Amino acid sequence: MQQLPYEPGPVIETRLRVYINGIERLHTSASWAIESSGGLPANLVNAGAEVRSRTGSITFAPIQAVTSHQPLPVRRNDGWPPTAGDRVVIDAEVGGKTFRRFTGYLKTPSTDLTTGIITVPITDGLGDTLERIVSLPPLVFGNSYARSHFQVMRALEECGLGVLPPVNTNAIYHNGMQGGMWDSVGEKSDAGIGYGVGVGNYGLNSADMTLRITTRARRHPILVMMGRASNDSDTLRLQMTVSGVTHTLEYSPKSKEIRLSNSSEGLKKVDSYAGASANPLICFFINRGQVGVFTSPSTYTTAVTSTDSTATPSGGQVTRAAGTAIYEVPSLDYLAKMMAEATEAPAKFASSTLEQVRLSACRGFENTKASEVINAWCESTLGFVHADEFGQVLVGTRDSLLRKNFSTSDVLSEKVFGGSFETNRDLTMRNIYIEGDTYNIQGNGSAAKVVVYQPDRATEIDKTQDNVEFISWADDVDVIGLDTDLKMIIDASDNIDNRAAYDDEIGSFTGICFSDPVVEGRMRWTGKGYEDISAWLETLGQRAVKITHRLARFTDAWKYYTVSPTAGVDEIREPLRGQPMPVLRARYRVQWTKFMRQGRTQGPVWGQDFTLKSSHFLHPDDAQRIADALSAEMSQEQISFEKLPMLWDPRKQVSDVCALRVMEKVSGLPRFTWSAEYILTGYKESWEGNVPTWEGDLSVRKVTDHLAGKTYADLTAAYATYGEIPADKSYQQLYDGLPRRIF
Amino acid sequence: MTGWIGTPAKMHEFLWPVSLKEGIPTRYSIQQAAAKSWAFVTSPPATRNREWSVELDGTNADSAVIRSFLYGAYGPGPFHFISEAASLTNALTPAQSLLSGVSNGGAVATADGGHSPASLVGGGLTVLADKVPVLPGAPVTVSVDASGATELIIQPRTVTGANAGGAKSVRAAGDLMQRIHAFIPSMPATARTITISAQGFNQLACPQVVWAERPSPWDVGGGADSVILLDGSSSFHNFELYSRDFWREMTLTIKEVG
Repeated sequence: MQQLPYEPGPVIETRLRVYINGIERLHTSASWAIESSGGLPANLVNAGAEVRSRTGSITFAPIQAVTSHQPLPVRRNDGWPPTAGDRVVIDAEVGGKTFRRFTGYLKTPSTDLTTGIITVPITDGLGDTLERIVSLPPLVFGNSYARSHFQVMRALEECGLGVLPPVNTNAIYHNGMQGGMWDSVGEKSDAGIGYGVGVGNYGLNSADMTLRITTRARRHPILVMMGRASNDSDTLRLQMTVSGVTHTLEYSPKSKEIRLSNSSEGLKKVDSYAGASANPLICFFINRGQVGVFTSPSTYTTAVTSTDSTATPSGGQVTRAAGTAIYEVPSLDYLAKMMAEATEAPAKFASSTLEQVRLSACRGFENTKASEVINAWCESTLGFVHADEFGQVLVGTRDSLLRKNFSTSDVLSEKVFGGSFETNRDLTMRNIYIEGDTYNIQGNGSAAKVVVYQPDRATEIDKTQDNVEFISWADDVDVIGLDTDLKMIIDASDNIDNRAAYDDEIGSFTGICFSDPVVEGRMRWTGKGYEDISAWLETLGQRAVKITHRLARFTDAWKYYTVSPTAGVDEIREPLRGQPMPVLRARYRVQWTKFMRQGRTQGPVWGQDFTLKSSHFLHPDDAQRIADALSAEMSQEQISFEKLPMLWDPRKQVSDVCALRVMEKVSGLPRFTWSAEYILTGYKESWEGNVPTWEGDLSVRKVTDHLAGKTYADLTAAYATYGEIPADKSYQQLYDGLPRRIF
Repeated sequence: MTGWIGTPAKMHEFLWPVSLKEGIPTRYSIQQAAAKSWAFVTSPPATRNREWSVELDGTNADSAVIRSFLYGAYGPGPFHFISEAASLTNALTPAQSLLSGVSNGGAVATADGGHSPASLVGGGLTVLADKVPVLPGAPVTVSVDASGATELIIQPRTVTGANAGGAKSVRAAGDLMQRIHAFIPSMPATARTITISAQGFNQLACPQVVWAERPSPWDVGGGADSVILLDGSSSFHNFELYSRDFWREMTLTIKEVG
């Protein structure tokens, strides 16, 4: 709901302004539409993909009053005619207030050759942005809250719509904190407390969350730490320790003051944040001899420092940030580009009360379009994802819409210009089932202790070539934290002796031994100077590995096997001797098994059955709650309004809940006869010049009859026992006090 | 009604008048609910949206120029159009006569007891209307309602905008609200437009330009600066044997654009 006043009198003066690349251009007509399923699965509404783009078209007015020739199709220097990719912003002015109607991009304009009129399709670009390929690994969430939409928020982050820039190889630490406090790079050593409540706040950590950073060779000279301010009251603090010096950045949203200091040089900078975003991405960097802060998405200021920026940060700490990341970047231009491209309004989430379990694991997506990740979630959880008139992405579940209070109400006889309503028996369901996968986790994550692969017998090494084998995990198994450092148990030629480590049963190991020519059955490890052995492991995506064993120098007469030795191994316990190799271990092995839940309310006999496939997103307990909610909703006849043309109201946004009331006058006094609360799932808006027409898609969630007589059944529904009926009220007061009939 | 159409460089008269109908289309678009109607304003004040239906009756010679216009010989337009009624009531455009875009003051009672919704206050030198077409050799009277020590100035200009002769300046007699007239009996031969300005006023309203030597009561401007000839039809009804004149009735539609 756009929170600006709109109280039109009978004569309404509106003005539509279309800005192309910031310059106002005159239009003759414009229209756009967005449809969504309002959180109902696509199969129930027959409406295609869940991620909906707002699309439309603009017809431009010619530049001169009389046009004597067709306009030049190629852009002149003054920015006209428009070309594909130009940014379009459409505002409507009414009553002295400006309402945003559309933010997006132009697609390819077309010019009519006989009239010279330019028409251009427009899109909010969400569908195109989400065509990006993303890969999200399977995860076991340790000590963090995680909800089903964690992967949706990650997919949006990889498309540039999240609180942080995408994860790439320059990221030393990365945790978006939306939908779950789980890191994508690095680890946090304590749980923090995740908040994900409501729309308008972003999930953030509480206080002093410590970051653990894996040391690795540095590639680029500049260190950057950034975090997003979640709301307008909590002070954000980012700390990074490099070469023993701790750098601290504090940002106060109330005063918009940024303070940068470090433990060896004290306070370095105090600046004021000048950008316009309500949730700015606050960033400081350490360059060679410089520290700096960004005072807006496109400007930064610096101060001199003696800190070395080429060491790997040893740790960090974060307080009240919505997402934090540490990157290394090659140049300040690169960093400036990253900051300029970070969105000013990251995707928001409207929380669900039905999802109450902290998820412990999720499956992976590999080389998948972000839109498919999001669609999978929407289909599984009754979720919706769309962008509003400002281009701000909103993610939510249907139950968040069913709980909302309605924001505006319209009297039907005053505001509705046509249309009809139907009672839909087709959508009435008898049984709602949710079929999904749930996790069974092996391993506690402290170290790679879970055996995920071991062959059932040793194989003989082919001396003529590399011995390659491919191992892939079963479809219902995820391996997380695989130890990819395949260690040879003992390799005398290269002075490698891992016998004690092998005996600890932590990590991945392999061994090449030869069969003793003298004593049968004795497997001996290869000696120094006699053989050259090596083995290595390569991961092939998320689900397969390739293991190579190589025997470079050998004795022709002997046979070599992939096996752990049995001789000369007093350090190794008996059960581990002579075992087929390699043994691969990981921190977790997750076995996914199927579950099915049925909604508690059963609909009428003639209703259909519906099965929602929730994939891995829902815990069985949450699935039960969602099945119950959906069956309660869908077991009754639905009332739907077909594309209702109503008086244009620019405050209404998709996923708003509004009410439509029918009124009559009795003895001169107005009385409501019935009202319907609905979720606005989409609308189409058209402008001819400065006159708007508006047509809404209304998904009714509740119909109330204000007049129907109350019966004894209503009394018994309201009071469970006779003793609860208040004794001090008259019959009329009791009758009036009963709740209105609700359908 | 007769009239003149063309550019300030040359305004062509068309003859002989039969009738002129002026239409001002609606400014509203109505959306109707069961119990309430809503009117959306489609065009801002003083928008160019008038349409005229002109009927003429003349010989080939009388209508040759207008027929050349219809064939596009004078270019695609847009053109200036001053009907005879406009030339004797107010040759300014409606926007100029209502001080649209120039006014900075509120409503004011005019000298004859009438009312103007907008006015100009302050007294700084203000151009009230520019590029108002005039006929060389013809008289022009410019009038305004003003209070204060007003000076009303008419500056004739050539087609390029250079001054064509000296400006005619008239000062108000006294300070009370009065109608001031400035009159040029015959425009210089090189004059094609006039620029009207005023200064020294306390409050000023209702500008008016009349192509005559005497003023007329104020009316909303009837002139147009951006019209096209939309269509025309001729109906031949008479032939003069001796002068070989074909008499034809013509109906023209003139539309304001821009």
